[in-house]
Amino acid sequence: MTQLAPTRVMVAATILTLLVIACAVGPALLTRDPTAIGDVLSQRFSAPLSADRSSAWHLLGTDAFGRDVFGRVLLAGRLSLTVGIAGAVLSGAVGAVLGALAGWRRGWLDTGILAAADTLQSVPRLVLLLACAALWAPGVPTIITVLGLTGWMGVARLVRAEVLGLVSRDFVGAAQVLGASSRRTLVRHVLPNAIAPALVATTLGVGNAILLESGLSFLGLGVQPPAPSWGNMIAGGREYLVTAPWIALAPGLAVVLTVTSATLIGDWLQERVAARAPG
Amino acid sequence: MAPLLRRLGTAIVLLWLVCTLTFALVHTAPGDAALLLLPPEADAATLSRLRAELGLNAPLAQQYLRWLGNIATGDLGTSLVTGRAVSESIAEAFPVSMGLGMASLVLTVLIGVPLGGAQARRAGSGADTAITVLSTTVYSAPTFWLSLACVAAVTVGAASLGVPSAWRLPAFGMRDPGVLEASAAPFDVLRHAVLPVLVLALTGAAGVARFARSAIVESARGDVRRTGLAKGLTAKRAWSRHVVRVAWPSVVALIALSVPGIVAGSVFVEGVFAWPGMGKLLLTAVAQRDHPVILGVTLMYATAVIVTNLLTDLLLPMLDPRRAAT
Repeated sequence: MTQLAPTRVMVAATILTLLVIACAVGPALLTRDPTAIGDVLSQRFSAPLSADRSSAWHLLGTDAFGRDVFGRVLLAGRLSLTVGIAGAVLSGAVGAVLGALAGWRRGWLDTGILAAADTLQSVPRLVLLLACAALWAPGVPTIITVLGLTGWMGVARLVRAEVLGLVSRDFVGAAQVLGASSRRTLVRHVLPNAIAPALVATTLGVGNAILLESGLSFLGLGVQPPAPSWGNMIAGGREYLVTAPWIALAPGLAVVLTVTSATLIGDWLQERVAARAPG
Repeated sequence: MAPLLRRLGTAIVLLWLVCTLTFALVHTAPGDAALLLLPPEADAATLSRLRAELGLNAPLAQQYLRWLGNIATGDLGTSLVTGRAVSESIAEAFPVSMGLGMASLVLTVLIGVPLGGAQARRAGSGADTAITVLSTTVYSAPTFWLSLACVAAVTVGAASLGVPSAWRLPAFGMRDPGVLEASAAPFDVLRHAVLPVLVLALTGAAGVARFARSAIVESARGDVRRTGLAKGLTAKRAWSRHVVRVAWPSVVALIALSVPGIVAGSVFVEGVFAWPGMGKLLLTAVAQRDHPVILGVTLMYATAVIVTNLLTDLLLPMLDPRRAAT
């Protein structure tokens, strides 16, 4: 059953692929180091599509330290995309494991996992992230861990519901009759059939994680300068909103393009999975 | 009456769990209040004296029980930076955030639901796709970035277009410093509220439109529309009286689910527009590592979410008789 995706999804996928390739390969092709600070006075605040006074041309202009904004957006994209994807995958994995255990084992484990999910979902995720980021040392490992620990609840509920629906199916009974252990039945027979909604939710989680990372870095609690991330680039351009708006505009547009594309693709996948589900 | 009591019980247990979570967060974090209060050059004797004073040497279980007892009596501790009672700062900031949040929520629903409904009516058309892409874009834009764009628009943008300064919207704060007369004050606050409310309402409406569209499309796929047509209703009436009516409870449930999102958005919006609410309080506390304030505000936000969910649970059976039966 090959059904072509709607145009908007194809466009989104193309944009996302190009962005990922540009961020992955781009920084290696740059002739100027986007983190190095050279002759600040002659190079700073050069407008987009123009040359600075040392006659180097800049696609997206330069920032307050004379660094090329385009190169920085690409380099920042590496970090922002990595943190977003790692955070979403970690929360998806935690959610899948906890959800599967809750639905398969039932009993006190189920009650405990559901109570933990209810508790975490009572605090807005951003507030929880802010509290954690303030309490622990800021940095990339902290953000990824905290994103993973605060984002698993939705996936866990989805997987738990799927597992509960599968437990009484004939093929699960057949596996057990054939002598498969409880663990093997869960991992080899139940989980593969329960994982599709979790994968979709994880895809949708990538955009969310990128947004949260940019927010934390904007507040100085995420990726620490001089390493560029889209969030801390926007924070850096905040002072120059009036005189050099491109410094904050460019990384913001990168976030919008990435998250919009990821969300459009995730939404479409969700529709497909929902349409295929029986009943 | 029994289900109502059970839900109330669940809400109280949840609140207790959130308190426990925040306690655990503080006590697993490196450093303690004594280290944060004292300058780095303080000697060990001063440090241990302060620890004893703050009760940090007591067994963890005892500290936990005392903290729970304090919260139960409304004592959230004192700020490490200003020395003010946390409950006092929150009591000041809460109504300010509440006003902002409520105004945005009303606008969110007024824009989002009709938009989603209109999209569902023409599901699959070019206009539907265009609005989907647009609302996804707004929904995907960082709130703080949109807020900054608005600030730029009302300052540089308005100035370069030659808008007279009396007509321009204020970019920051909740009131002008000079406005004190009782008659001018409410209007002044309203003027300052335009931009924050607009940003929150737009991002909120983009999310709600997405929810409402899929809920109504889902409802149109079922038998309700056909039943309406079969009993002789016009297509228009079958739509409004059957399809939309059936989708309403799920839309309301999804609006309630968007409350934490509005809260999160308001943190950034209050930060960028210097709006003196709970979000601003939280951001200042985070920047200063002011633990008691961070925890107090976190608990307050959690309470707001839990109460919203409780109210939705009570409201839904009234909207949807099918839910009342279960």
